[in-house]
Amino acid sequence: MSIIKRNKGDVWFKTTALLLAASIPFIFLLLFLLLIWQSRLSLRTFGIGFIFNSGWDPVRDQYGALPFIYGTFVSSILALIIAVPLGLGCAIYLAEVSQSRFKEWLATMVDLLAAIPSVVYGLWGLAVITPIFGLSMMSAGVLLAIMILPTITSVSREVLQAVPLSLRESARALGATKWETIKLSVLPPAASGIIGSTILGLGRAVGETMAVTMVIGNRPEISGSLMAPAYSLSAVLANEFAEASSNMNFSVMVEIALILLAFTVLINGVAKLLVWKIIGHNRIH
Amino acid sequence: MENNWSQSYSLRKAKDKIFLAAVSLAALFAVLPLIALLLFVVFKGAGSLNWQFFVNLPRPVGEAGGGMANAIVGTMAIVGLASMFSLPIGIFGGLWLAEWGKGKRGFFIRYAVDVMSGFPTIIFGIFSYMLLVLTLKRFSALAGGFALGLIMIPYITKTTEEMIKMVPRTLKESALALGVPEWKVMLSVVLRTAWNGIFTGVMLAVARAAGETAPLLFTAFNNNYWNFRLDQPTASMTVQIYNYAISPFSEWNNLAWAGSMVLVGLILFVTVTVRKYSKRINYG
Amino acid sequence: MDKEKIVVLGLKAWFDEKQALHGINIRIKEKKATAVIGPSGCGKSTFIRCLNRMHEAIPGARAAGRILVDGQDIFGPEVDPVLVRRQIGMVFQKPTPFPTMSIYENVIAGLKLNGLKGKELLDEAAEQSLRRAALWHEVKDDLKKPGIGLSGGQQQRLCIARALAVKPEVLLLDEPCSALDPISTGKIEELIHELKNSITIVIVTHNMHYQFTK
Repeated sequence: MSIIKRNKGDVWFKTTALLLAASIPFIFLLLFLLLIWQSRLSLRTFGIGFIFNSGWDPVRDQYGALPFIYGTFVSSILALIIAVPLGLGCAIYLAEVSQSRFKEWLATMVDLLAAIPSVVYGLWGLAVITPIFGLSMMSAGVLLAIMILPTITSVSREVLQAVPLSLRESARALGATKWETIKLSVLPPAASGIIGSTILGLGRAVGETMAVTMVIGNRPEISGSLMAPAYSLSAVLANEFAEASSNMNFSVMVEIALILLAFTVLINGVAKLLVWKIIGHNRIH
Repeated sequence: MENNWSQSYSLRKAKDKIFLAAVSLAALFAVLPLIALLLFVVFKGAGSLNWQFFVNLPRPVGEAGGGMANAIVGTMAIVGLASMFSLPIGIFGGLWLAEWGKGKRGFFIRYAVDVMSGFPTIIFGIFSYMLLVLTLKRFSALAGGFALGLIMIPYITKTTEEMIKMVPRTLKESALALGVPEWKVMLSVVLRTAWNGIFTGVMLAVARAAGETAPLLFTAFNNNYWNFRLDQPTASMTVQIYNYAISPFSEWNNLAWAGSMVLVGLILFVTVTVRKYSKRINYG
Repeated sequence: MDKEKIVVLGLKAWFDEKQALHGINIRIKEKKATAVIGPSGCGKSTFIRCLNRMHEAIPGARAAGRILVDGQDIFGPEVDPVLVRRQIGMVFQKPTPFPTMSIYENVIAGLKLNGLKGKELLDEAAEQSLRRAALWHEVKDDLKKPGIGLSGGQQQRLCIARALAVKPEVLLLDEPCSALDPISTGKIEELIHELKNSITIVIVTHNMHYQFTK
């Protein structure tokens, strides 16, 4: 019985596993390249002005992405304004204030919010939110706020819990009330992580598609009023991508997808950096 | 005790109470939408749910008894395809990362997984459109499955990597010490041990994929009839719910609620069961 | 006769269902250092944490019995634990300066909480506390530097200064030197010797040759 021969099975196995694993970055690259390739017509024709142009008339081959960028960001920031205080408050409640079984139940509920399909949110938004705010930026903002709440709550909660107990106790021992303890010893170290959770929430809001397109009104116009209909990058993709009539139209849609992707990747990248800073090396103090 | 404290203690206590109230209120408001949503889905959905929903095909407005039977089957088929595509890549990808891809070696793969997990899902739909719809010149369940599979891969990979890392080294080493070849150890010892955890990750990924709409809009598209071919447009619950929801007809809107109830019910059931199950794993 | 600052009567404490203290009776003399010594896990930390009502801040923990400070039972129904902790300060095993604050800000943290205002008052209080903690000379030119930039022993003295700033009448120390090197330990022991002349000290320690009876 030879003990020298390398087991062939091992080589096969490891190679197969590596190939399968490596297919992931391969797909990733292919995706980016394809998007850039298919949008080259639009990129070449419109250049950087595309982002700042606001005319949108596919029939007359008039394209400008500004209304969509505007809609994506205004609705997302609106969502943040609503969701951050609520989400942070909820996170503080879960991490610092509540005890007992109720806390676990609450945390589970908040997590379940994240599992609900976007289209169901949209349906519910049509029934509950649009009667109040109409098909508008405001409706989208409110609905998005509800959808990103779980993200902000759960990440903030993790960040808060990563602050060492000893810091809290030191503040307590000085005679601080509960709120003072939190303000003094928990929030400052957790601050950048909380900002990270906010930015993560922003990333999710920017990428949200179905719920937004169902309540935002889908009108490619920039208006000063939040109650007016609007459009977003993801919504226009959902509605008009498959109906691209010409090569130019198609290329423009792909460029919009590229812009959306770029924003999302950038935002998420910044967020992750901030959050890892806190959760990554916290055990020191 | 000295007393040049300018802020009286009772003011501090009052602030403390206000803070407690504010934070509890925030927690309440955070949960309220979920409860409201579930109530709506249950009440509006239950009203329109009947056996016809599960058995019949969609019917034109005006005709009673329309259903989502084909959409239910369609979702299962598309998610099934997605799983066939994503499971090998995700599980073996995660295995490779855990065993041989530690630190810098697995950097590109981990980076790709991480970034992809944050993509808006419609992007995968567009990618699948370019690869499969344009080339095959038609919408298909395959294209839909591919798009959903791409969404599932990062989840499955991450979970698998985590779960395999949790398998104690000593277990693997004892098996190797018995003279078993490494590949067999990987399959029958390491994977087997981590399987419970991996399975929960897979189920969560499946639940997530089943709830996706945007990636299917121009890949699997939609279909008002039965379709059992993989290379034809296929109905799915999410797309059908979307179409019904935005239509002006109240019967169709009702069907959208019914569909939502079934879909949300399934997804929540899977999510809750899996979480309970996975809590037990972490102690083992 | 030495006056008694703290009288503990029948103190019991639990963590959920597990009982950690089974009826402690002790009298702690004023302006002396009382050392609590014992094997690991016998309840020393639990005991000392009852003295400033920190024990019950842990979820599921309870205490029963009477602890009289200057004759007043700190477990009394109208007593606010937050106020107890102003009078009875505590220093923990691991030095815990607030990481986002400077040395100066750390020392006056407790004072600001209690509403003390006015730069002169705060500066004066900070210097006084840092002197009492034998840290003033080492940091007086670096007060704006971050608290966590100090060495372990200095950080612990900073925590002592911080605790002293609110002028408690009792200072509890829970194994304050166990995370420190021998030289820092020596410095802190000397410091406690000094402090006991002005403030009642209760210290949990493993250090057997620690002299404290005078």
